[in-house]
Parts: sequence; structure tokens; C-alpha cells
Amino acid sequence: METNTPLLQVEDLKIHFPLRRSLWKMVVNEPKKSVKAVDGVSFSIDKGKTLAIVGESGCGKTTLGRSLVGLNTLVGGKILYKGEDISANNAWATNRLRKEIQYIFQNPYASLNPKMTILNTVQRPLEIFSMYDGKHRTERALDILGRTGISPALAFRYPHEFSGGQRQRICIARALAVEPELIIADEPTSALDVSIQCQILDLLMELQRELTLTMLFISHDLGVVDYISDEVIIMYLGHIVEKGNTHAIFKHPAHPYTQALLEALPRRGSSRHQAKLKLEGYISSAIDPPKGCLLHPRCPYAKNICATVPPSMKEVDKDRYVACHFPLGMTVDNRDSDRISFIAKE
Amino acid sequence: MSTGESPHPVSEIGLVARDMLKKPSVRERVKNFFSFAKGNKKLMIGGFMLLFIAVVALCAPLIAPYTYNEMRTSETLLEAPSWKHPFGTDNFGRDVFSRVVYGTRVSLGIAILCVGLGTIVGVPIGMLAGYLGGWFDILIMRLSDVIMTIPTILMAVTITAIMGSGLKVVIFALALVYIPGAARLARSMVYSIKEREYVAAAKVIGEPQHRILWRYIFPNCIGPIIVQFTLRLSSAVLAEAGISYLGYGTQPPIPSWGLMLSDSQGYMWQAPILCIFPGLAILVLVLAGNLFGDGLRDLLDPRFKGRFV
Amino acid sequence: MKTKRSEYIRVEHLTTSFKLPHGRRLVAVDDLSFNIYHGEILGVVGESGSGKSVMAKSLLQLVPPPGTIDSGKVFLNGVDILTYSDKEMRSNIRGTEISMIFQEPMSALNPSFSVKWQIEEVLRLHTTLNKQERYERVLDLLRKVSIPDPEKRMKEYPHQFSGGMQQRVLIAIALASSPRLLIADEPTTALDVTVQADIMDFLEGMRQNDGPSILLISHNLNLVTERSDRIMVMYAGRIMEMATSIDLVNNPLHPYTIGLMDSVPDMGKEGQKLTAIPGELPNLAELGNGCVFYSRCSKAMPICEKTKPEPVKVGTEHYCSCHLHQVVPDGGR
Repeated sequence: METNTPLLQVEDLKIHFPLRRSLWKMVVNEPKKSVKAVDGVSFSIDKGKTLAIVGESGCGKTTLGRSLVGLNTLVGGKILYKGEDISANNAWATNRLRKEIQYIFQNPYASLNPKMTILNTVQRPLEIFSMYDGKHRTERALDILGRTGISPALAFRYPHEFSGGQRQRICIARALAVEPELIIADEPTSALDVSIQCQILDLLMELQRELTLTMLFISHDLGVVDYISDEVIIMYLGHIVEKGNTHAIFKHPAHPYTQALLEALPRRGSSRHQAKLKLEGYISSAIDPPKGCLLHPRCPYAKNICATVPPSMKEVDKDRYVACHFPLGMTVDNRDSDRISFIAKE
Repeated sequence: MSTGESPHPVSEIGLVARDMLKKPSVRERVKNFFSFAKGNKKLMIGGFMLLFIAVVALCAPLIAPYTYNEMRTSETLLEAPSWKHPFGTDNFGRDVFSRVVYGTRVSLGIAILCVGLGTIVGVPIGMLAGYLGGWFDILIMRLSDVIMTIPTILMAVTITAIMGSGLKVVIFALALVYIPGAARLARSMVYSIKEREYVAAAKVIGEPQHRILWRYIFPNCIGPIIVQFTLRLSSAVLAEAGISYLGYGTQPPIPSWGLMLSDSQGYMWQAPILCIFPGLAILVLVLAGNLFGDGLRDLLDPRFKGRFV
Repeated sequence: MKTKRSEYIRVEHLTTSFKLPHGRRLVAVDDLSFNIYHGEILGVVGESGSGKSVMAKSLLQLVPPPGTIDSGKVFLNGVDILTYSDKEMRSNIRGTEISMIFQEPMSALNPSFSVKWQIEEVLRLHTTLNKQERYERVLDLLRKVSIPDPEKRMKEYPHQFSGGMQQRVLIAIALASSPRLLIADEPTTALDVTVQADIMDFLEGMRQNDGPSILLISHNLNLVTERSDRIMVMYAGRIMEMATSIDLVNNPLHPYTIGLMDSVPDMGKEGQKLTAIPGELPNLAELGNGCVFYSRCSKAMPICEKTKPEPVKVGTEHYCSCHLHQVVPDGGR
């Protein structure tokens, strides 16, 4: 394995959930429909970096995250971990991968077994992977709990005796117990109170630095993403619309959808800035997505080509990609080629 | 990563903490439970009543002045309650009080046995059906549908016709009746729990399937299952009484309360007292079971976020 | 913004608490006093346990048992509506003077009835319009909240609408009888950010046409500061700070307010450094005698542990409940 292979590579990932057809439809032989939750997503993460996946509800980000730990099956595409293809179902049959890729769930009130003490919860992964031995396991579990801010005196308590923020810390401890390399965090702060969110974000960042973790951070909150991630992927209806360096994208968004998201964010201030870009209508169906560019029914800049030709991912800057026929602030050199050079308008 | 050495040496905290660990003793936990349960009146009253009945059942020989089939024809038959016979005597000169006391064993025993068997057999089947889904689930559900459509009494009668009457038959028939209900409940609990995030979390940390069922799903199901168990005790007592009343269940001279009721029918005018006491006994046991079950259900309300059970 | 405003509602020393088993008491709203002017948007910022929702429900006397309003007065146009019986509340206040919209529009709408029926219900209860007039009014309301194709859509059921549209329907229901106060309890929390902006634009726009006052309750600090005229910051049942939104953003005084501003990302600023507020939210059943924020306050003083600070006027329309600001500044502090 070369040293500069990205830790995780995803190529053209597709996850579809088939819909049950009614008896009538089966008789009439109507074509099978499915919800195209993730429909052709490609990206990569380098070791030690934090990549955020941002999108509104229904964009497929959670489905994508879960497929990276084997909780959803792929319909197409590949996942490569350290260069190795782990897309098949049987890649997760042994626990080997689970030691290296861990997951933090969104709802801390639901992701801990109410019948297990928190010590047991954090110790279980160590037992499963036969790490340390006997007594040392308990020490290690207490150690990691301590690092996430949970006092060892609380070891024999049950989840319901803890607040949301504490429960999330326990979940983080559980995920880190096996010393993984890649952590996928699915909206870890969304269910927490505002004054606690920052604590958890800081904890995650600190642990990442200490343990050289690579993190995939899923969120709908652009402010949080801006704070915690190096690179970001913006998803809409199962596709990536823009990806690249977080600060660069948030400062100068190239895709109308990104722009709309940023415009819609409440800004701390005393008066509302006038939104320059507003999307019309509502999100289209994931069962029957629009032809051409997925956003075209709602995009104020849509032209004829947007309704017929799906835009491909084009490089607009070093490591910045957009899937749009008319990226904002850019004039296109040569529209027909894949490797297009853009000239920034300003 | 092998055992023993680790690139992250266990810190001071870990070592010190382990020595400081104090597991709450069993005594402490029991104390906690009782102080928590005390607030719930139904639970306490029903609980004490059930406890009382259980004690009576266990200590029957010590409480009853006579055995249940001691016929003293020399003494007066169908006597009214007196100091010697607090509940009077029946048409065979047997002491009704003793028969009611011994009858506690029969009724409570049969109820617990039947509902218990039904639960022990039904719950694992239901859990498997819920967890595996697919054709197995469909098969089990349709089978249970079939059994559930047959009324309890009819089931007992049919089985009696096949296997002959008697205690064993009653138990078998009633257990059969309770299996589908327990299976359904377990199945629906598993369905709702297997989608929970902590089950997904268990998969992600590498827990094997059997452990997920046993340590993650099952412990979170037992609440409603226990409630169903206690509430059904009452209905089992009534069912057994009904079956015995009809003559298909326990045979004389075993003092089933239902049988006693049936026997007393013929003497309604001469000694109406004969049907009151067995009837009252049934009432008390059913009430106790219902109160306890209701109280338990309130206790296990989601409000308490899954504490204790 | 209006310069001279008349007061619509004045709340004085409102206290609401919940009876817990074993004789304990959880004080959800503790000695709250504030007012609401006509036509203003008063924002309430608070996390869970702050008492913001209980406060709103107290105004409508809708606090569920075992909660009770222990003391206080709520003056509406001079009359203390806390003395009203349930019947009087139903006929005079709820749905007519004061309306409320909630966080989860799908749960707040009745899935078994058409949207038209649900809006009409309000009109049936609180107006004397006849059938035709009601129909017109429903149409008018749906147009006002920008539901496209209202004649067709009014006959549809809640599940046939998207989340944003459901919330608009709820707003239509709330506005049906022209209330003077609309309480919006986390109206956009369950919605996507683009839909959120739409709904908030609409609520703000209502002010233009002599619309109702709005009590905007949210945990989203940025949202509240952006849309409200004045803001109340609540924590553990008490008001920490109250100011106009400009004042609050430019000159926050209470350590909790400052802590929030420092720990919540704001996309308007570049290169933000966030500092978390340490500690946990307090257990409302075990509050001591001191300031509720004491355990987490970086500027805590010995007096903070012993006595609760009272609100002190620190500027025009700016009040702060903190021992650091107990002396009214003359010329700034």
C-alpha cells in the first residue's frame, strides 16, 4: 500500500431501496421502483483529515454513512478502504474491518443499550476483539471513559442516569475503545442542547488530534461543519453537487444549491440580509428524480441544458469540484469536455 | 492488536479507577427497587394480595384444619359456617374452608404453570420470528392465528376428547392457548427494538447475532412480557374455573374452585353459602393479578425510561 | 421598527412548577416578569429546561398536570387572564386573542381531517360566519400563507403536504381568528434550513400589515437574534438577560449570553474560534438558592452561590439578572 493512498475511497456508490409493488402493479408488470437514496457518489478521505457530508433531510447522507460500516447494502459502486475493496457484503462477515472503522450515532438517547452498564458498554468492544486481558480491559475502558470526560465513579450506572451530552461522550468512548482509524460521526451533536454541542465538538477534535483519527462528519448544520471540517461534500437527492475545501466553498460557493443553503442560514445580527438566491418549490422525489440536473426544477439559473443533461463533476480549482453546467462566479472555457478549466469571474 | 501491550499505555486514571470501583451491592439495588415501587399503590396492594395467596397456597397443610377430601358424613352435611367449619361443609361433609385453602394451590398453581409454559414456549418462538422475519415469521404468525381463533373452552373440550380429562390435560390445553399470545407480543417487541440505534451500534462494534438477540433485544422486551404474564394469570384462573365447572378439567375430589362452584349449583337453595366462598376466592385472586399487572404496567411506562425492567 | 409601542401583555412574577413524587417540586418557571408590545417579535432563547415552553403554555393556562401555575399575573389589555376559568380561556383567549404553533407540524395536525376542515374549525368556534363566508376566509388564509392552488389543496389531508407546507397550514389555523399574539414554539426546528428561511420570512412579513405580535421561541440563537425585535434569554426557568436584538448581539452582558455567543457557530463571521460552556444543565428539581447559572459561570463570585440575582435595568430596554451588573451603570461599565 502506498503511503499516499487515501484512507477511504468511494467510487460511484449507489444505494437504492426497492419499493414493494402492489399485487395489481405486479400483474400489470409496471417497472420496479426504488428510492434512490444514494445515486452515484464518489469521494475520498486522506488519513488524519476530517471530511464533512452536508445536506438537508433526504439527501442520502445518513444512508451513505451507514453503508460505510456495512449497515446498508450497495446496489452499485465500490468502497475502498486502504486500497482494499470492501464493497461486498461478506467484507463485514468477519470483524476485521470493525476494528478499524467505527460509528457514532445521531441520537444519544437511543444508541446505548438501556440494560447495560456504561462500563460494560465500553468494555464489550474490547472483549469482542480480545484486546488486553481480563483486568486490563476494565482499566482500559475506564481510561477511555475518563478521556471523554466521564468519571470512573459512574461506571456501574445505566444510560438513563446520564444527560444527553454525557451519553454522547459514552458513545464516543465506545467507538474509540478499539482504537479505530476511521470514525464516522452521524450528526453527533444534533440531538444535544446548544450549550453542550460545542463541548462535544471540541472533544471530537481533541481526540482526533491525539489519536490521529480520520473523521467523516455527517451534518445538516453548516456552521458546525465550518468549524470542524477540512473538506466538505454537499449532497442533494443522493448526488454530490459540490466538494472541496470547506472554507473555500463556504466563502465562494460554486453550486447554486450551496449558495442557497448558505443564504438561508440565520446570521447572528439584528436584521435579515436579503437572500440573493432562493430556491423555488420543494425537494423532488427520490423515487422519480428529475431528468438532467436534479436541481433544475428549483434553480433560478436553470437553462435548457440543465433539464436534459445531468452535469458531471468538473474540477473548478485545485481539489474543488462542482456538478453544475453554470457554476456561480465562473465562466466556462470548454463545456463539452470533462476536464474543464474554469476562469473565476471575479 | 494482540493482548497485553498497547501503544496507548493505560494511564494512571485507569489503574487508580479500577481500585476505586464499587459495584452497587445486591442489597442496595433491591432497596432502590422497593423505594421506587412504593409509590405505586396498585402494585403494592396487588403484590401483597398475591403474596398472601401464595403463602396460603404454600402453607395449605398448616392453615387448613382438615384435608380437602375428608368426608365426615357422621357430622352434619351442608352445615352453615361455625367455629369448627368457618365456611361450612359441603354435601359430602367436607370442610369448605379447607377445600378453598387447598384450592388455592390448584388454581394458582395451574394458572402459573399454564401461563408460564405458554410464555416460556411462546416468547423464544416469537422472538425468532421477529428477528428473522421472512417465511419463518409468516409461518409462525399464521399458525398462531389458527390457534387463537379457537375459543379457550372449545380447545379444552377438544383436547379432553382426544386425551381424556384430568389435570394434565387442562394444563396442556391452557398452555397451548397462551403460546400464540406470548409469541405475538415477543415478535412485535423484537420488531420495534431491532430498528433501534443501540442494536445497530451493537452490530457496528461486532457483536455476533446470538448475543444481539440475547443481550440487546431480549432484556428490553421482558417488561411488557412480564406484564402480560401477570395479567394473564387472572384470565387463566377464570379459564380453569370455567373448564372445571363444565366438567372437563380437574376431576373430583381435587378442590378446584371452579369445580366447587359447579358442585354447589345443585345446592343453591339449601346452602347458598357453598358457592359464595369459592367464588370469592376466584374474585380475590383475579383482582390481585389484575391490580399487580396494572401497577407493573404503569411502573414500566416509558416515562421511567426503562428503569429496572 | 416602531418607535412608540403600546403594551399588549404584561407578565408579572409568573411561577409554574411541577409536583414530583416523594414531595419534591420542580420549578419550571421562576418569578418571570416581562412584557410584549403590540406588533413586535419578542424572541425567547433557551435550551431544554429553560422553561420557555412551559412559560408559553402558562400564558394559555395549558400547563399539563402535575404542573400548576403557582403565582403571578398575566395582564392582557389590563385584565389578568390567569384569573380566567378554563371556559373563559377557551372562548375569549385561546385561538382568538392568543394562538400557538408548534414544533412538529405533522403531529400538530389531525391526520383524519382535511386541511379545510381544520381551519374552518377555528372559524366555527370563534366567529359567526356562515358557510360561504367561512369558505372564502379559508381560501384567503391559504393564499396568505402562500399555499399554491388553494382551492384544490384545501380538500387534501395533512400527510399530502410537505413539512414546510404543513407548518404553513398550522400558521393559517393560528391566524384564522386574527389573534393579537402568535406564540411560535420552535416553529422551524423540524424543518430544513431552506424551508426555515421561508417560514421565518413569512412570519416576519406579517408585521407589515398590522399583524399580530409574535413570541418566537427557539434554541437557535442565530435565528432568534436575526428575526426578533427584542430578545429574552432564559435558563433554568429564569430570565438571564433581556434586550433589543441589536443590543444583545453587540453588547451581551450576562455570562450565559456571552457563553452562548461564543460557543455557537455563526456563519456571518470568518475564522471563528468557539469556546464551550463547561458543565451540564442543572437538575431543575435540585436548584439551590443561588444563581441558576452558578455552576457553569466563569465569572462566578461567592454571592452568586447564595442569592439569586434580580433583573436590573442596564440600558434602554436592556435588563440583566447577574450579580456582576447589579449596579446600574452611569456612562458604561
